[in-house]
Amino acid sequence: MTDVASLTTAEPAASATPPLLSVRDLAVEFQVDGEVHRAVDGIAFDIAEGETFALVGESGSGKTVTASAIIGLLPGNARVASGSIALQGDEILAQGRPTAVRFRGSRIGMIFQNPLSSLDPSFKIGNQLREIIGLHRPETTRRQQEETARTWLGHVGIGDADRVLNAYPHELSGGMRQRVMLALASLSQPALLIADEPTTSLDAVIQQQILDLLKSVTTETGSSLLIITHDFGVVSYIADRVAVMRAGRIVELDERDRVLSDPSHEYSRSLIAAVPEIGARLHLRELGLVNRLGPLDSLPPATRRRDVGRDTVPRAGDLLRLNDVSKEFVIGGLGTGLPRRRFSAVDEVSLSIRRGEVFGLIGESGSGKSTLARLIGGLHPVTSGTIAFDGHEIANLSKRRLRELRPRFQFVFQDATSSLNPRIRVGEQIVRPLLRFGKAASRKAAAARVREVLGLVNLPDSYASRFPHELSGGQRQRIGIARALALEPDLLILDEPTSALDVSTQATILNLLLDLKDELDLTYLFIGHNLAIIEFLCDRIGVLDNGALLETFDATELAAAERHPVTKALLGAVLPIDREP
Amino acid sequence: MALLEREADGATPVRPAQAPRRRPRSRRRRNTQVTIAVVIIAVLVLVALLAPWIAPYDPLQADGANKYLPLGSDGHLLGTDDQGRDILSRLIWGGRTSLLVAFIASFAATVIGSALALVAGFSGDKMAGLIMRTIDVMFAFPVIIIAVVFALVFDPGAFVVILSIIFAAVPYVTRVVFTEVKQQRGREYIEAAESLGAGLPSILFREVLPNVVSQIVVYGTGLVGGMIVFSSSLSALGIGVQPPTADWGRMISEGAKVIISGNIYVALLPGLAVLLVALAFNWLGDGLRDVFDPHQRKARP
Amino acid sequence: MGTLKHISWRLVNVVPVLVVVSVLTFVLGHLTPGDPIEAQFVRTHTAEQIDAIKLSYGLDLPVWRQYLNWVGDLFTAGGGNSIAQGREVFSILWPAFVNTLILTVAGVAICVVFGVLIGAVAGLNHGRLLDRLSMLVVQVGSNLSVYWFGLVLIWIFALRLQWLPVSGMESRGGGGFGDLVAHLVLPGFSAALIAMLVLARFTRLGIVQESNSDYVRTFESQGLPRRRIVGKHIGRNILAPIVNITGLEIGTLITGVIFVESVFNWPGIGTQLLNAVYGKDYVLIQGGVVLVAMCYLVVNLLTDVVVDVLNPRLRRA
Repeated sequence: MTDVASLTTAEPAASATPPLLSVRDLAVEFQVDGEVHRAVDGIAFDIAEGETFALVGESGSGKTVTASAIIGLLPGNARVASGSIALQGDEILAQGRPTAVRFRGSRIGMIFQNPLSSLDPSFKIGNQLREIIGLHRPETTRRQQEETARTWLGHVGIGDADRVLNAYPHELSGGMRQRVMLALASLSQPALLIADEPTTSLDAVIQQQILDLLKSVTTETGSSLLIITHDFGVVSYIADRVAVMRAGRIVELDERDRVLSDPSHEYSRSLIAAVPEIGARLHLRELGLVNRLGPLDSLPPATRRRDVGRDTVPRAGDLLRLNDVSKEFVIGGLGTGLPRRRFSAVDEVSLSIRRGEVFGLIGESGSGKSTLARLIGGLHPVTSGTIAFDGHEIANLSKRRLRELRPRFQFVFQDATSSLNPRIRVGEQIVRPLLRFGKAASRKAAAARVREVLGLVNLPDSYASRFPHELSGGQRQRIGIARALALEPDLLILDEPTSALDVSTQATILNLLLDLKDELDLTYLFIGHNLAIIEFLCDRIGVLDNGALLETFDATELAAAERHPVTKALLGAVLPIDREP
Repeated sequence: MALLEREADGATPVRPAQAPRRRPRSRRRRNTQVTIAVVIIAVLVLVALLAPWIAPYDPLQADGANKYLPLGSDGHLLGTDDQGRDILSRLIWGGRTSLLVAFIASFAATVIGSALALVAGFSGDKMAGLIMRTIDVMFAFPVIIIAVVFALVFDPGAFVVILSIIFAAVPYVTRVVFTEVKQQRGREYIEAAESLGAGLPSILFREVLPNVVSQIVVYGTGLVGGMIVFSSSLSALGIGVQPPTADWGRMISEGAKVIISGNIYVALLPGLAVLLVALAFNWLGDGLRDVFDPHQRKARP
Repeated sequence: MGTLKHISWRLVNVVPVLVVVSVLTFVLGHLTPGDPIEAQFVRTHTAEQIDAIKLSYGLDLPVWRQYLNWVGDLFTAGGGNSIAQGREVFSILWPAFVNTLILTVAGVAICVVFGVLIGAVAGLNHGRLLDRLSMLVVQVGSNLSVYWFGLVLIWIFALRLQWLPVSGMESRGGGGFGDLVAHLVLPGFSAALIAMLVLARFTRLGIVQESNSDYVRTFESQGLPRRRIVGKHIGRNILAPIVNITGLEIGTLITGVIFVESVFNWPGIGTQLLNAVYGKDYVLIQGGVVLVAMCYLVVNLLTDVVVDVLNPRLRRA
């Protein structure tokens, strides 16, 4: 195991040639409310010419701060406390501000996480590209700049350059905008290109295209690439070398294959093992291990038959049955100042979920999956069609009758920060529905039940008296689950319950959900956009696209030839972690 | 370090190094500001309440022999006005009228505006559209015109001032609270409450209200200041409180008549009183905003 | 949706507002307590004559007919006859209205120039001493009574320093354009005060927010000079909000103008309206309200159109 201390001071040069970028002993401090926090705490790494280097870590690990320090865009309340950053032998930090600015764009380029807001909404793409070209090559004419812009749009795979040049940012999709960003950052052929979570806010199918472009563009310009990511799939797909960061320090730094196949540090090991992968479930089953996320040697053997998953025989009968369910929204109309328009969010969806199974619903953003979940959860009325829950028709039930059924199907929301009331103690938030539904006879009984469900989600009793902002993201989601479970539901509708969480937190929540399902005999409807999670968790899968349900199939048949092209595209978009050395 | 640990436990994957939008003011300075504001307001309210006992003279008593006495005159600390009335006494009594009018009107406007906002926030698009469009129209329409019409219908007086203030302030309150309510409505805890069986009244009063009440209080507090200023201008114009009642705005307009003769104090002093109270309420509002913000409270380890 | 379609849609939306305003104005006029006509003429006219006058005002007709007559008068008869002065309302109001318009335009100009200037200085120096000072000025200024502020200005600049005229619109005997400008400075500044500070606050906020936006970071990462980012990108992006706030603040400004007219003896519509209140001349007030409401609607419409034109999301069909 590499000594961490030696990593922070000096890293043995990867090759004989001097590195393109050399970071030494870098520390960055933030001043928040008069207190100083170290976001980056003495890190060191080199990036060689033409290399793709990945900084990987969870939120708060300091990876983005590191990138900001390199390009000199730290926020106002941050400062570099110590260390050096040298680009091609030139010290960046020691230089005065004007010189550091000169590095930007010309020698270092950067693309950001959110392409939707990274371009100026008020100017056409052509104008913005020309402006940057003119900045780097002031001698060019407008015509030449236009030509260069066109060429670069071609480089990033944009065929109809004329349309894009004449478009405002809002007229382009997220993927297109990220391509434009890539062109904008690369057209000065910088020595180093920094990409901060470049695909995180994009749909899975687009992700791979953007990564391919990053690869091809940097190869063409001869740039080195520093990619900041939380996703080991991305690392596996694109990086040559990897540094794993945690709490402002680099805990492991090595060749990609070494880190992925045989991580030396405990933290990287658990982090990589926490990533759900296609086929992992089958693999665990072959090894006779329980179906949970985590390092293989930490998983107990499967004792009960159903631990293995997939062989679970759902008890007979459908718990939920949807028939031609459609939902249309009307926007605009009288008083809004907008013309009236209707659009269809869910389009004639029919499906059934059997008692005791985990049904996964997958679709990209805008596919209508969250709307469908809310229809099933009785939160929106349907436009047409029927929804039968355990034989009761709920789609057009009166509010009162619906309310009587509500405890039996409960909702866990995507964002626990927003789904918990920030002004009410979490215990009270669990107590209220218990009293409301008569699930507890008294406050005392309700409090006892709160302790019980907090225990179920592995939180101490004392947490009941906390406010949501006093909990971490993972703990908040546990409260969300506990609140739903307190009512002893049959069906739990899980709307992307882990998509706002870090990988390791996600793994503990997913494991918790699997435990609870076994313990409490629950049926899950799991909604997500990450096929690997869905495959790991679910017995059956439905694919939603543009509001329509394309197909449903058994999770074991995910790779079958007769799958719909959209499903195949989703599967193809999953970036596996290549663990083979 | 504690902060980093907490984040590492997995909050949202946003840019962790996001700079705060506003450089946070030091807590101590805020607290001083609130303390000063509270002291000013408390003293003025107390003085207004105790006016009959502490005012040295009858505010209406004219004294032809002692007109235009300057500041610091014997027996008349702040001098006398064009009729020889004691300015200090008039200020004390005038504070009574001015504060009372502003309090009543701001309170009414806050309640009406908040109610409208809650209704608009939790009714259908059409109802919300109707309410908010009306508010838009009211918002930008010159209040003075409304005040003139009120003065025509009800005869000038404190009542006209109160009505005009309500009319002027309701759009602001409604818009501010509506923005809050709409933000709350977009959050998933409302859907959560619904799926947990809460009805509309329960959602409005037990879930949403605790989340917006602090903003309402903050805004209402600041409103009092602005409305004292506005009411003084209305009274100065002559459509507010009528003579001979002592009122700060009225005093300003009476001072206006004598300013040409070089005597500024008669108008200056009540104006300064208005400014002081208005600033105090503004500071109090700002201070309360910080006190109410739960995210400023320290997270437990 | 194209800009043109959007504009015509806005135009259509104005009609119901106009109808509502006219109805409200009419109803409020008729709520006037007592009998204004009797009050006006009781000393000089006999009971029969007063009845005849009432007939001439159509007061014997059903209310809805009165309303229609009044609306008709607005278009054809100069808004009906003033009770106190006996002439057509619009012919009384028009010269005053022009004077008010002059003052308002001056106010808007001062408001925009100084408001944006103060806001920009503060916003570009966000967090520094200059920002704090500007914001202190804004906070104190926002709490000044317009009426009182005007008085203090008169005292300082007209009475003590004697730089500018005390009041009125022109020096005795007239004095041309320069004289008018000299008379406009103090009232224009007083009238603009509150709207100006609101605008300053929004400009500052806009600059601070845009400075923190992702696209600014993009251009910073490309090394675009700060003044170019501010001048081109931030400037362009806060333009629409500035126009919008200015439009919205016109109401505040008109209110300020009417306070100021009283302080500076400006022969404007505010003076006419206040006099009418005491004379219970509801016909004149109705005409004045309609006139101001029309202006307000026109300003709002223009604001909306400019904001639409500035919004790239609406610029394309």
